[in-house]
Amino acid sequence: MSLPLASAAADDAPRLAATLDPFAELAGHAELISGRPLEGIDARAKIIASLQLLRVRADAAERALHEHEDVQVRLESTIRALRATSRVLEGVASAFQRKRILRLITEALERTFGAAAARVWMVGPPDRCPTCPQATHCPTRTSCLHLVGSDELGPIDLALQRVPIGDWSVGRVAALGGLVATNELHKEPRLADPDWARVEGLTAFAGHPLVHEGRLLGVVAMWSRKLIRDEVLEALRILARQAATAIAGSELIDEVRDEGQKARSATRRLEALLESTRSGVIMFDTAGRITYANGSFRRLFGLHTAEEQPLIGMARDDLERALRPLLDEPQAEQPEPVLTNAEGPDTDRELQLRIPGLEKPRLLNRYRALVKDDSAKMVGWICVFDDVTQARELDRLKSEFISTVSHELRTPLTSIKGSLALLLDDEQLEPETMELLDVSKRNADRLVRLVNDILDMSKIEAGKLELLPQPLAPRAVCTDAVSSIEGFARKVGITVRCAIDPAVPDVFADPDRIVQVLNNLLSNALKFSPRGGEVVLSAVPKAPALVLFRVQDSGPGIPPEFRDKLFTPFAQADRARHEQAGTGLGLAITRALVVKHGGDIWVESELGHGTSFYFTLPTHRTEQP
Amino acid sequence: MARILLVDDDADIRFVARLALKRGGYQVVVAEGGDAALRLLDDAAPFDLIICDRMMPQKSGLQTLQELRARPAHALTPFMFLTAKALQHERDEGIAMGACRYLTKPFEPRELVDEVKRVLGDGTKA
Repeated sequence: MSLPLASAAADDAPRLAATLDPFAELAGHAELISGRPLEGIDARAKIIASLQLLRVRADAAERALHEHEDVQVRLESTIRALRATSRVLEGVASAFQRKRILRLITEALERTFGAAAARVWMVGPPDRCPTCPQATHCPTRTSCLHLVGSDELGPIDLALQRVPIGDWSVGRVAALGGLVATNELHKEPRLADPDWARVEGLTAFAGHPLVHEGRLLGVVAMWSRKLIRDEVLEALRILARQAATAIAGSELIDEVRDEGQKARSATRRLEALLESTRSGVIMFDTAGRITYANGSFRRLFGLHTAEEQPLIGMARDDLERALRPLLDEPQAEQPEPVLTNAEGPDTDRELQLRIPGLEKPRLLNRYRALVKDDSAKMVGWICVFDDVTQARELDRLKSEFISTVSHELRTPLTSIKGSLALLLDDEQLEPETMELLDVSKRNADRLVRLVNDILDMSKIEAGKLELLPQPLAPRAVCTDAVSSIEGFARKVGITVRCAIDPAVPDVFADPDRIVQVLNNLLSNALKFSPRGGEVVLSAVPKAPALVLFRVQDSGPGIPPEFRDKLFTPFAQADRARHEQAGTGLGLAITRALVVKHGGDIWVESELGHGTSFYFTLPTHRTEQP
Repeated sequence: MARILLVDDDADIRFVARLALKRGGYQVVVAEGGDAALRLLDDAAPFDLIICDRMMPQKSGLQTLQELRARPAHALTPFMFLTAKALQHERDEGIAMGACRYLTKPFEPRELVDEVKRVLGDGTKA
């Protein structure tokens, strides 16, 4: 803005004062001014005084004019600054990215507030402290100011890329925690690059820390080729405060976004996992709408060949209707649904399905699980389908193999046993020959037991154990079992006693299998009892509708850590010492038989005080598990 | 002396079972398969009991029994299985086909003789 009036007044005043002599001229002027004649020295003095007064007034007027001009200029400049500041602040408030916020500030400083250069530094992590070229300047070596990316990398950017807090003008701003400004940059002792300032003609510097809730976030600084006026400093202060708040907000937003990204990437990972599994997975919400179905689900049900059906959002009942015809259960009156609903317990179930395009029916194992949220509220359910066709086929082949092998073993064993028995009929044999034949026969018998046990075990595993239960008197079956083992008991010098409660009711069981159970338990008891010991088989009624059997020995007892393994195949705490060696399957089969009858079996033992095997049998027909 | 036809493809079983039955007082003729058995039945003197294996090459025990029952002359001849097929449903199947006894391998010679005695009575009397 040009100020001609002010300049003219300022220029004319000294000239006016310098022309107070010669008097004539002046007197004339004075007369003209005062409007009356002047006399002598008084008049002159008066004139001079008047002129001086005039001069003072002119000076005051000039000053007032100056001040007025200055105020107007400042006012205009302040208004401009405020407008610019508010524009920037509007931008800052709507920007969520730190980088954008900072660019708005530096651009405003450069374009509107006359900065030759404006930069922002943020307090950065000590990631590069050990290799930082500024390390020697850095008092803490834990954190410093990092220059925020600038497109035009000048010398300033290189020199001030990392600024230790407290170092140089920028670092001092951070250390002092308030505005630092100078309009005499050449006097500034802590310039990072004085040459740069000289070359660029920079004369002023101002910097303000970015502080949010007492936390130093960074520094915003500007250099200028002209005076940085107060209103610019004020604008810088306002901008810095607002920027700090906006940056803190953007950090919060970043955090939230990071959390969101983490959650999304976790979801993506889970989905990738679900997509890559061979199990068919389908999820429903509480309203019975499909919320998710993976590719394997479509493949298992042959839904992938047709036009990609939009399963998501479909009602469970509609999909069930579409899948129902695939069920291969012609005999079932009320066929099991393909897709479960949310009721009932989580269970496994096998379904046989005829999938279009596949020759053989597929066997799918279905597992249903309820989906609950953090507060255990049900939010839906999930069905997982596994194709177990091959596994079941392998199971079948295994059972078939075992059954064939054990059948095949029976024929040669028959010949061996038969031959030995016929030989042993001859009473003329030498005692040694007799003994050798006895050894052979005993071991042939053992092989037969092993074959039988393996066959039983394979039947149990294949779920093909058949029972022919009937009402059975415990007394009769116990007496039978004891008498069948008596010969062996006598041989090893152990007494076997039967103690049957007269009030014991009939049990409902397969006689052959119960004899097998009792034989297993009794021969075990004999094996582990010392010579001269006693084995007691007892039976008492047990509420409700059960009979409790107990086989008690006087052996060394079973170590506690072994009791759990006892009923698993081939588990023997102590290799049997007696001649009637076991097969390792006896107790596993025994338990399976008892359980199949609807009973329970357990063991109680105390080291040094013998072992008792207990089992129960129902007195009525029960559901076989 | 009661005459028994023993059918089994396993020579050792034939030998052992025959010896056991001979010692039990029976006359035993052996055949190594279903076809040979049927030929013997057609040609030789009648038998009081047929003891037959189930799993045999060419003609199975079940088939042999079926063909036997189709011939009026042998429709009522007592027939006993002696087999390694010991499953309950296999046993039921054998009885349903018309066998009067179902003995499973491995067997004791004494068991076999006892079982035969139960069908035929004391062999020496016949």
